[in-house]
Amino acid sequence: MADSDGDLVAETVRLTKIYQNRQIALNDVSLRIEPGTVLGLLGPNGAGKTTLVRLILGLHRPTAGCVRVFGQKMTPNAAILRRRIGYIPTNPRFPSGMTPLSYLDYVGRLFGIPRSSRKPKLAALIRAVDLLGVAGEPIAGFSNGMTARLAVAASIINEPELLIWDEPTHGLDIEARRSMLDLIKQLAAEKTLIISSHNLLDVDEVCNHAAVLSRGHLIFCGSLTELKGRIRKNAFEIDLEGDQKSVTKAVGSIKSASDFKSVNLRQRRLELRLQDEAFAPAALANVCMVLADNKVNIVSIRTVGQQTEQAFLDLVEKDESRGFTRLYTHAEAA
Amino acid sequence: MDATTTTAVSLRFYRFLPYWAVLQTDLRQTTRNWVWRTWVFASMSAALLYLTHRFAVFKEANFIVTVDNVVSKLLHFVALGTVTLVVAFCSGAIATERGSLADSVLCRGISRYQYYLAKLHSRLLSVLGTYLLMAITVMTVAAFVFPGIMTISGCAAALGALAAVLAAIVCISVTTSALCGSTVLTVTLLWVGLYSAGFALTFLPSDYLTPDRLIDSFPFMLKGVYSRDGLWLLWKWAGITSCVSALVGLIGFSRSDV
Repeated sequence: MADSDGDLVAETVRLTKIYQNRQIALNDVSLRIEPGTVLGLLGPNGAGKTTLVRLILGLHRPTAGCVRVFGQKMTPNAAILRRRIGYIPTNPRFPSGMTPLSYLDYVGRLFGIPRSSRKPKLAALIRAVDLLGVAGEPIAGFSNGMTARLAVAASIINEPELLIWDEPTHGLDIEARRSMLDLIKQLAAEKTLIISSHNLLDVDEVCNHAAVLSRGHLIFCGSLTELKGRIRKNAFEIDLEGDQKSVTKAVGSIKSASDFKSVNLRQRRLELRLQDEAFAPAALANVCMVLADNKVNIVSIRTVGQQTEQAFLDLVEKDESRGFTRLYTHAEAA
Repeated sequence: MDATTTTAVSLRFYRFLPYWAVLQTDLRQTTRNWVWRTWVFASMSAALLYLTHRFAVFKEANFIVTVDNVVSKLLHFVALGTVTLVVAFCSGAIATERGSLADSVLCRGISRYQYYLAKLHSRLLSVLGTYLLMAITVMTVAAFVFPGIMTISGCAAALGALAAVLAAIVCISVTTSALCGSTVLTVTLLWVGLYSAGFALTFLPSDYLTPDRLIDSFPFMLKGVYSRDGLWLLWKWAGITSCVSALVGLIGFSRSDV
């Protein structure tokens, strides 16, 4: 936790956005983002992720509540705050007839960066994002990957402290997606990031915090570990290594223990389901001892399923099933 | 992608650079726009054809064709054409970029005020610049070709009066564009508004130089015969209309979602 509100990179207080008295896009969202956080903004389509991002950037004005960025209130005219933010929209659009060089120069000028520092900076960025060969080509003919790289360069030209990337891996092929995730990991070492994404695998890989929105409501905000901690942790898979006889003997011993609801061996994969009252570390320690006694090695051990995805789905499902009780109980995020 | 290879420079920021960036980019894109280029080409061709036609009538048929008549007719055409250009061109100044391009511009270190003013000034410069260039060219050509009286002060007054009206229409157009969600709605509102205003202005007392009276008075004005008070009143009201609409647009745009 930050010591005071001034230390926070971004903060929303009871943020609500209603479009033209017709659509509630965001409802009472209170969020605190500390320096060094890599926040994954999760939610189904129409959950309010982009609205929240646009409110943080001052592109939209809140109907109620407020947004504070670097301790100051964000407004449409708060250019001084946006100079400290790098943003990539979901589908970046570029002015027609521009080349990467002219576009980055334009973005640099939009940030008010003087020529003496702008020109060397944009040259270095073009090289860094591997667009040197097409620096003078019109952007109109660029592939999704090249467009994404240019958008990345534009978002970091001002050396921002906060990066807000909306669906950064959207429409990218496997290689480009990998590069993007690696870049996020690198940037995470020195900057605060907000990554809005549908892709839970991406969030799982690069984020350390998550905020889950459902129908404009913040239903979870905390560390990714906390999010994963919400799923039931009583099913495990262990990949084994050793001769078949030893494995069979070890599994037989494990089956006789009372901690498990079910023990199944498929090939060399041991599937364990614990009793509800069983203490997982103790039960697993026993399993390890049995395996060691039978000279069976462990290749990998994991809880079952995609943890972040499962936790996310559990949260959304739980929120939807609450019905009118939402009126009386605050979001778990609070 | 390797972020760490970028040069580490301690950045300074210039406050008005974003305004200049949007202004310059918008002006550059205007001159590259096919609508603008087509309009300039078509207007100049039409003016040239009209001059040639009047010259032929003057030389071959020996009709009396005076410079003030030719120029006032040409100014009339140029004014009507420019108003059409203003509506077509300025209605999309901000409305077309809302939610897409404006999104990628306004998320940078630029305030709404700077963006709006840059767009407004760019459109004013391009429309008035084009209008003055075309009008001065046809005036100069006509002055050398046709007989009659045309004073410099009269030409300046006529050009200035029309420029003031056009500037007011540009300001209203950009403001409508900033406050409306779509270009189609902006164009519709502008045409309805302009025709309604034009009709309403005809009921003003004869002291007021309304746009239609201004066009009718061009032949006299070019000769240097015009009421200074009437002209001053036109400039004053055009200035007030421009400033008020620009202010409304500025406040409205700075409080709206993009």
